[in-house]
Amino acid sequence: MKYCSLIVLCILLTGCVAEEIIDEVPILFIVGYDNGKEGKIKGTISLQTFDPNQEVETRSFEAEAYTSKGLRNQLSGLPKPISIGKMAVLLFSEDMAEEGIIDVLDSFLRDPAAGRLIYVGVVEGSAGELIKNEFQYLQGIGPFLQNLIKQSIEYGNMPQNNIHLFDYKYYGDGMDPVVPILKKEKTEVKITGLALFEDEKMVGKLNLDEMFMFALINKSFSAGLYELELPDGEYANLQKIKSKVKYKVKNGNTNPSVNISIKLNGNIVEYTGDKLSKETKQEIAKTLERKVKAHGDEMVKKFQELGIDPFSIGDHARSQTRNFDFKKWYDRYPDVPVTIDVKVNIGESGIID
Amino acid sequence: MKWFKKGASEKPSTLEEMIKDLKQSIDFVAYENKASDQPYRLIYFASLVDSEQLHRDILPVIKECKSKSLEDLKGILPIENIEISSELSVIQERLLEGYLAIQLSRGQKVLLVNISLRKSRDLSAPEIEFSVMGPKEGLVEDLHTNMNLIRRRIPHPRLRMKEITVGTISKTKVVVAFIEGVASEQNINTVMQRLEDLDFDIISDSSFIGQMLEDNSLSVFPQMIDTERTDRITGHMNFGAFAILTEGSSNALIGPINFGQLLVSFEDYYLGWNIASFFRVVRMIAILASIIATPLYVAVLTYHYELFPSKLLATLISSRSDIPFSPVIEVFFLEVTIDLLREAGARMPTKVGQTLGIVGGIVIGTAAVEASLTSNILLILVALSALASFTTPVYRMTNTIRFLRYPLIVFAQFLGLIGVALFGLFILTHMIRLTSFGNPYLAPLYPPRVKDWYDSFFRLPYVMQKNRFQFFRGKQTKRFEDKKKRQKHHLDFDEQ
Repeated sequence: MKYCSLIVLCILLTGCVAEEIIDEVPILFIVGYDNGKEGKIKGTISLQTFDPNQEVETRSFEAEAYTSKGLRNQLSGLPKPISIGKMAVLLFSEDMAEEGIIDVLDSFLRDPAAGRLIYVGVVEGSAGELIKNEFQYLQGIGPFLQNLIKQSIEYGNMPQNNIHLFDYKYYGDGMDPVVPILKKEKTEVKITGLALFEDEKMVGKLNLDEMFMFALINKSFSAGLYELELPDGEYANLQKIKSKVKYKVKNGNTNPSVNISIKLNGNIVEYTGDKLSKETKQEIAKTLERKVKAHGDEMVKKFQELGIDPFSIGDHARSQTRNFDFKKWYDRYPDVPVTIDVKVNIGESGIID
Repeated sequence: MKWFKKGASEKPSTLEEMIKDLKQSIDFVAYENKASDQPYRLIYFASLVDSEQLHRDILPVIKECKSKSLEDLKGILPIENIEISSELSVIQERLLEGYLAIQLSRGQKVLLVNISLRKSRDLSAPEIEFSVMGPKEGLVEDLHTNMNLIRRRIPHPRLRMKEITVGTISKTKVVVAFIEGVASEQNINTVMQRLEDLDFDIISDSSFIGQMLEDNSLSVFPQMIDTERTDRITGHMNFGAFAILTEGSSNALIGPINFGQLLVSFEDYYLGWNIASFFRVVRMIAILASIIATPLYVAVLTYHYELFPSKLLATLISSRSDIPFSPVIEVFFLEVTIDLLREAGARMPTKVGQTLGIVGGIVIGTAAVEASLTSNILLILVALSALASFTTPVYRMTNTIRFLRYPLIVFAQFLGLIGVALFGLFILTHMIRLTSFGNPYLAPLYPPRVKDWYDSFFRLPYVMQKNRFQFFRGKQTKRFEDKKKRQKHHLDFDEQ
């Protein structure tokens, strides 16, 4: 009886699970969203087909619909079912990002088939054009961009971001999301900076230099390389910069003041001057301190003017204040005094010293 | 067995009738010598007795014997196994065992002399359970030799051997050997009772008994170990198990066992403890991989392609891109092919078998990929899992592993990874419920016997194997005395 029921279950339950045989479903890695006509969304996807000779051929398709899921039905040149289990990158054009993107992201967040490590990016210009372009990337544009963003976060100067962090910062009080900005050039795709969002709408951007500073100040972070210009015209290259950041908020509810203290550790790997003496090292440290502080002050000012909070200062204030009142905080935020203390420690400068 | 019982009911009532009855076989001899001054009659099965012994030792003595009684003859004959009987059933039984019956006078009384012929092959190295290190001594088909092999390895007064005859036609002698005090009395009673309750006509091999004694005969898991290695038998007896030796079988059965012992090669005990432990872990991983490798392939390729890393997708899809079958057909095709090869190899003579392996492995494998019937990734997986399944030291366990993956593939095809998990749970529940002679099958794991873990998934050095397994519940709990205690009586040269 036991066995009988098992067999019966096997037969009866088969209808419930849809088969998705690996070589029969179109597998998407990337979608680009642009503004379409009449308030529609224009979606562009790039699809890879794999030859027996292990050669990858990419093809792009585009469609317009009012919802992101509706796009699937409009993609009539594709065999169904379209599956998003391997979705890696969602791209939005700048225009669309300025109008708000949470509707599209929401559909991905709700879908159990979607992975949790989807990267979100903003494209300068048209997202569809970027995807359609044949860049001759061996593994296809989707996995390439995924790798590009992943590597910039792990080894480069980009702060951590993905669809879930975006969602967290979108719904969370006292914080705002950031996403990388990509740009199509003739033969390649480049990361040009960081897009700043006020909730779901893009309101500003940071360039590459600022993105590095942002990453250092935002959170304890270890970055890749940074080239520093010294006052005497020489250049020093710092590697393995590690930042330790502490946010301190005083009187969160009454008369708030914020102090951000940053401890930086780095190694000098290259120096254009003659000799790397103790004094030069100190000089380098001082220059970097000044630079981080100046950039930090400038960024905080910029954020306060825009009324956004990518540093999550509001969230830090909440965690350090009893009975924190967000309403008052939002009113006061543009005028909250923020001081930044930076301390740089140069660790090593090579094995010969 | 009705026909047999019917035949048995028409029992001859006198010796003459019996002889007349048995005469129907050509190998039965009832030779009467009336010429000599002392007439006598010899009754025996020519196919069972040692004719050389008959002519050399017995006939001259009878001829020279002047006395007229069987008792006198009994005293003169240079043979140890002699009895006098007039009971018909005893006589018939003895005749069938290879005894010679000597009749001097007309009457029922005969002298029974054991001159049975023992022919067995020479001792040889174990062929199924091969090991690089350790003794190369395997059991043979002769019960006597086997008992001798075991007794020589455990020359201990407490080594008991109990004999029992099973099989209504074959009358197979079965010996249960164990070390008293080390083996639990309850286990011995259980096995003796089950043997007594056995009712079957012909026992061809010990595996017959093995299958009939099992607690759950529906299970695919072996609940006793079949082994031909004498070191394994004695080793397990020393743990507290018993061994069942069967006349005419070169395999002994060891019980009770737990699941972990099926994964133990006895060679583990000859290697260093750390190396042996490593091999045990490798073997466990191999077994798990062997069972679930191809079902996972089916499940993931059919339902959960997201689980593949993006970089592997390209290789996988391109290797499958011109295969016309769904993954499950592909997998079944290759798995059945491998099992065909294994089955054909087992039936073939050795030399043909080698050719078959080459034909099967290389030709079919590569040709199947070239004809795009299977993907080459699957070919690797199937070959690896076949290889892994043969790492199990116990042959019956190998078959279990090879068998288990087929239902698992079906589950994987129907329900994907959930199906694999479901089947895994089903097997786990089954194993938890399973017993071997009443002892829990998953023993050191569940119920947890932490003190037994010293020799389970890994093996600690012998110094730390002070206690016997709790699993066997023997009276003796120590394997050896503590080192510290021994040192008290010990005088080193330096201390003098």
